Amino acid sequence: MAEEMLRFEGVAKRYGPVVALNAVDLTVRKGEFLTLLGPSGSGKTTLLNVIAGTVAPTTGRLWIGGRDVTDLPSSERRLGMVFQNYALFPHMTIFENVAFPLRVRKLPWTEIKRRVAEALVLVRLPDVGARKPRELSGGQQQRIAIARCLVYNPDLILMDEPLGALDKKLRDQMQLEIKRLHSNLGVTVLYVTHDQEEALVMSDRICLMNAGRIEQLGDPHELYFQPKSMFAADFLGDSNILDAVREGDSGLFRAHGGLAVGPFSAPGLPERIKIMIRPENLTTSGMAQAIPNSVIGVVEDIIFIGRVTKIRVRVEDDVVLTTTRLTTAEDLSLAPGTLVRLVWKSASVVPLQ
Amino acid sequence: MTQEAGRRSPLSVAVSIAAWFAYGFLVLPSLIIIPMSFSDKDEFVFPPQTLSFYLYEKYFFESNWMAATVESLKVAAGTTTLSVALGVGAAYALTRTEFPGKKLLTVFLLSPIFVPVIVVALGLYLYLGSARLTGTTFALVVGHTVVTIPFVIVTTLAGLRHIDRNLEVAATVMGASKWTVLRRVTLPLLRPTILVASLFSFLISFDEVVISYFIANVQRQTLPVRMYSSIHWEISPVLAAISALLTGLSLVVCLFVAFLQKGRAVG
Amino acid sequence: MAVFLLPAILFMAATFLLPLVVVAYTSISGEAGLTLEHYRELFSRPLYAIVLKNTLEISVLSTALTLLLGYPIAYHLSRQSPARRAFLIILVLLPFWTSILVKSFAFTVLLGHNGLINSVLVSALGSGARIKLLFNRPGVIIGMTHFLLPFMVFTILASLVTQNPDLRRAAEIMGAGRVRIFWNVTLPLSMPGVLAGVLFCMILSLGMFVTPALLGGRTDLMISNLVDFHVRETLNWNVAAAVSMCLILLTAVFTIMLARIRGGQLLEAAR
Repeated sequence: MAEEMLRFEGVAKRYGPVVALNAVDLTVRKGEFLTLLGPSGSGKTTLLNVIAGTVAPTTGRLWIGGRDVTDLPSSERRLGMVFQNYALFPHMTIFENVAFPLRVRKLPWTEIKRRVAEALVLVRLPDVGARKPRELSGGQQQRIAIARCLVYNPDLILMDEPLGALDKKLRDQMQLEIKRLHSNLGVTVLYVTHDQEEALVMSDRICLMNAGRIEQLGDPHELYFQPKSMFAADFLGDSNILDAVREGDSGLFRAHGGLAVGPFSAPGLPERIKIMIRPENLTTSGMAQAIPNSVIGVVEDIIFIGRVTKIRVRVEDDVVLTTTRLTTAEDLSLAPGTLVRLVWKSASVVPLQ
Repeated sequence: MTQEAGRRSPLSVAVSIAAWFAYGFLVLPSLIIIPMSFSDKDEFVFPPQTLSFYLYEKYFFESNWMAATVESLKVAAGTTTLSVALGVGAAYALTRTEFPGKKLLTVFLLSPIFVPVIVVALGLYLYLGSARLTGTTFALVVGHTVVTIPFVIVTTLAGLRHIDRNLEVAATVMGASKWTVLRRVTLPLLRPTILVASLFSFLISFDEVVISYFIANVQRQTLPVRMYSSIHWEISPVLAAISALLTGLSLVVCLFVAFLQKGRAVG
Repeated sequence: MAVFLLPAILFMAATFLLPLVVVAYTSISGEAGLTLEHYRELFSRPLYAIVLKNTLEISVLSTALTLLLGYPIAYHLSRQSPARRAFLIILVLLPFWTSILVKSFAFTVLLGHNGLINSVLVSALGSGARIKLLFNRPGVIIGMTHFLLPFMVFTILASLVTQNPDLRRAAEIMGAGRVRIFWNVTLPLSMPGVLAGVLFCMILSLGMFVTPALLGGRTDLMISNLVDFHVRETLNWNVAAAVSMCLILLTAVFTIMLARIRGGQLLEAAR
């Protein structure tokens, strides 16, 4: 079993009557890239702050690199942290910024120069040492902030929505950049974001949080294809969520909209459940033949989003299903009121708890 | 809302007139003494006929005035040092710590602004008098510091608010002790603020008269006290020269601080 | 970190709190222990009532005049672009940072019998046009107003500048004229700032010493001058202390009122 770098047990944080974090247990393996994903108020930032040491937990203990750090101040936890607003010292040059943690550790000067140069090369900004932070762009500043983290080899690097202040294109680039650094260096990263795409792109595992609890923990595929709850299904990607009732004894269910779904391999499902189908798993097909796992409906709306087109279809019971696919020429001539047949693979229907 | 194209409403014209009248009222007194200070006689002449430094020479070469000026400089320097040393630390502690009664303490530290100076002056007079400390430079520094500390604290609080807290968190997470954070991150960023607080503190002390009037004595007067006596008893035209110089000093400080603030807004 | 507060607290306790306690104690200490005789003496003499009346009159009049002149300046400044405002505000900052003695001296020159104003009046309208503006009530009020103006301007300006500009724009789009916008939107919203400015100026003017001493006449004694009188002339420190305590009480009333509306702001700064 891989060595664990971060572990906490029963960590909770209460502010008077307000519970920001319910007792949470989590283990992060060495070299892992784990993302705390969730909407605002989900507790992810509180959890990050507890790990960083800026907030003391009401209960629970945490270990970093095998050491119990619950009672240690931030400065002794051997962490690195990257902030959304970069937090580069404006009165120091880039070199002095990156050298700061090494000077705190009283390393010899030659060693400092070498390590800073290495770190700057790592983030591909080798020549900016003499400049001041305000002379760099946002993306460059964030890379320097990362370099400042890497230069002293902390046990764990915390990233608090580091790409939130950047525009979309830059964010996409930086996501890959951070991923590249992570796989090349094997550092352990705890990443916080509310952007589900970002989480899916970058993480080895995602810890989905909701209202102070861990909703689901798993790798991106698991969370996307096997969400366990409605919240999880809805938060990552789009979803069609329907009520379904058991029909017969063979594990089949009938969902609203006339969909026959199942059988499901999950044991012990109750009479009534909710099922989820991703829009991209609903395809349209010709009206001619009846196919199993299909249903007929009327096109209500066609939403063109460039690369992708969303089609809203009204089926039985007045249920509206959304199907998404890469835009094709036919979609341009599709009109509301057309009858279509929606088809799905039985394996792509997910029962939710 | 800035200047708009098109006609100006009667309201804005009326406001402008009233405002400029008031601006004039504000600056006129300080300005008229400047030309008067260039008189070459021991009397007040307006409009000024000459451009002479006679009165300035009188100021610089009359031992009474110079002694008072030197005393004021000494006291102001001492006051600035003391109030900055006490006030900056206090302001920092107020923003970085929490404890019950903090509000009350803040009010206490800032209260000299709201207490009439004469009461403070009387208190110090009675208090230091019984310790036989009146008439000393030390007493003046102490008295002035009481009224400058609130300014230093307020100025520093404002400056601290502009410093991104994340910088201190980042430094701490990277392993820096509280002292290191203070020394290498907070204080360097606070330097312009401390400079402004020092300038203001110096100016306030240099111009302070009520407390000085009470706790100074004949041998050891500050410049404002001497000026007060002079205006009260026998007006000396040298006052015009001194006033012009003091106004110049105020102007320099104002412009310097404005320049500093602008620099911060840009950078 | 909280330890940084200690030097300041100790210093203020020793050099501010303690002297105030000494004043309070002196006001009630007599030969045979604690006594109220000094206060009784104060209230029995008509001089005190007159001085109190003077003080309140001068303060109220000066504050009113300051408001009349100060609001237009604040309004004018708030309508400027930040660049122009930074430049114009020096016209207010300079008198703010100028020594009160320089200002008093300037007024003695300006308002005197042969001062600037009278010289202009006489040369324009003859020697009968001379008016007495110095060593009397007008002199004190003019000098006091001049001193208070920057305080009033800064307080009201702060309030005007933080008003939401969208409110005015919305009113304009809805068809309201400039005067109506000012009367129904800007002015009411600035009232807290005006109130704070008025209270602050009252607090400052009640305790004024230099201006009435240098620009006023014998009938313009204010409470501070009474304290000085007792310390210097009658050497009656006890009565001086009693007068001081009354002054503190008087300004405390206004300070508490000011704290109610603005206290939250000042303490916000310490967060």
